[in-house]
Amino acid sequence: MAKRERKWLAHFIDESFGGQTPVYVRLGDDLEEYNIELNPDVEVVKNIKGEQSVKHNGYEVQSEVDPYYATEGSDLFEKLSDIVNNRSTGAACETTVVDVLFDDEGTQIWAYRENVIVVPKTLGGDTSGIQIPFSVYYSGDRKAGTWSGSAFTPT
Amino acid sequence: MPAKSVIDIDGTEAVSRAILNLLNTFPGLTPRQSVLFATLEESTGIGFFPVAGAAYLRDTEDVTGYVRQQCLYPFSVIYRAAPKSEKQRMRIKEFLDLLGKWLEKQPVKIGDNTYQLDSYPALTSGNRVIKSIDRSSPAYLNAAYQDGIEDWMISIRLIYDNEFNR
Repeated sequence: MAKRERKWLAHFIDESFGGQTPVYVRLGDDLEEYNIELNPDVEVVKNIKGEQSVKHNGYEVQSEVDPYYATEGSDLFEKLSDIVNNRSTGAACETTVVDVLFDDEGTQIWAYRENVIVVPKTLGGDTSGIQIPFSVYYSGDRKAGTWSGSAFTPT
Repeated sequence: MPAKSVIDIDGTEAVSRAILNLLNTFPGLTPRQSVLFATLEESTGIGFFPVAGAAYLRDTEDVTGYVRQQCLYPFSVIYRAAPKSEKQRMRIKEFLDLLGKWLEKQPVKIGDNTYQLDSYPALTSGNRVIKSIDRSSPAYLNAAYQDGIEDWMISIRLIYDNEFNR
C-alpha cells in the first residue's frame, strides 16, 4: 500500500481573525514538518496488588508554525504584527483553523474546524527574512464539515 | 529505484547560456574581445569553462509539497595570452580580478568610468533565479607553455534557487 503524501493533509487558518466571512490561508510554506501535538494528559497508577489503572484527562492540543516568514501583502502577517505590536491577548488572538485530509485526487476524506488562540513567539530572525513564528493553541468547539476549496461548512 | 540525480541538468544549461551572455557584457572587454564557451584559440582568447554541472546544495520540500532547491554552479574564466613583460601579466591579472569583482556586483573602475552590475540575468528555465556570484579564488597563473603562452584563470561560484510544486 502506498503511503499518503504529506501534502494531502492540509491546515488552513482564518486570517480575518473573527471577521464576518472567514478568509482561510493554507499553512505550510517553508515548513518541512508541521505537527498537531495532542499532548495527552494521561496518568498511569499501579496499586500494591500490581494492578494498573489509567486516567485519561483529555488533550492539550497545540501546534507550532516555525518558521513563518513575513511576505508582502499577507493579511496573516499583518494580524500577527498587530498582536505583537499591541501586546494583545484575549479575543484579538482568537481565530479558527480547518484541518483537511484529501485523497491523492484531491477529494476530501474529512475536514474539521476548531477554535484556536494564536500566540506569536518572536519577531525578527536571521538574514533569510523577517520571521514571526507562532504557536496555535486549539481551544475547542471542534466541528466536522465539508471543505470547498476556500470555505468550511459544518455538517 | 534509480539513484537521485545530484546535478540539475536543466539548470546547468540555462545558467551556462545566461552567464556566457553576461560575461560578454563586461565593460572591461575591448570591442575586439569576446568570451567563448569552453574553448580558447591556440594562442589567445578568453574562455568560460563550467567546472561541472550545477550540483544541488539543498533540496527541501515543505508540507504543502512546495520544493525549494539551491544549486551551486562553479565555473572558471581563462585568459590566454603571450605576455612579454610583467606589466602585461599584471594587466591580465587585473582584468580577471576586475571581472570577478564586477560579477560580485561591486563597483569597478575601468578607464575614467565606474561600472556596477545592478542585477543578474533572468534564467529561462523554470523558476530558477541567480542569487549570488562570488570569486572562489583571485586570478592566478594556471599554466605556462614553452612558446610563452600563458593561461590565467579565475574561479567563480554561482548559486541559484529553484522552486516548484511537486
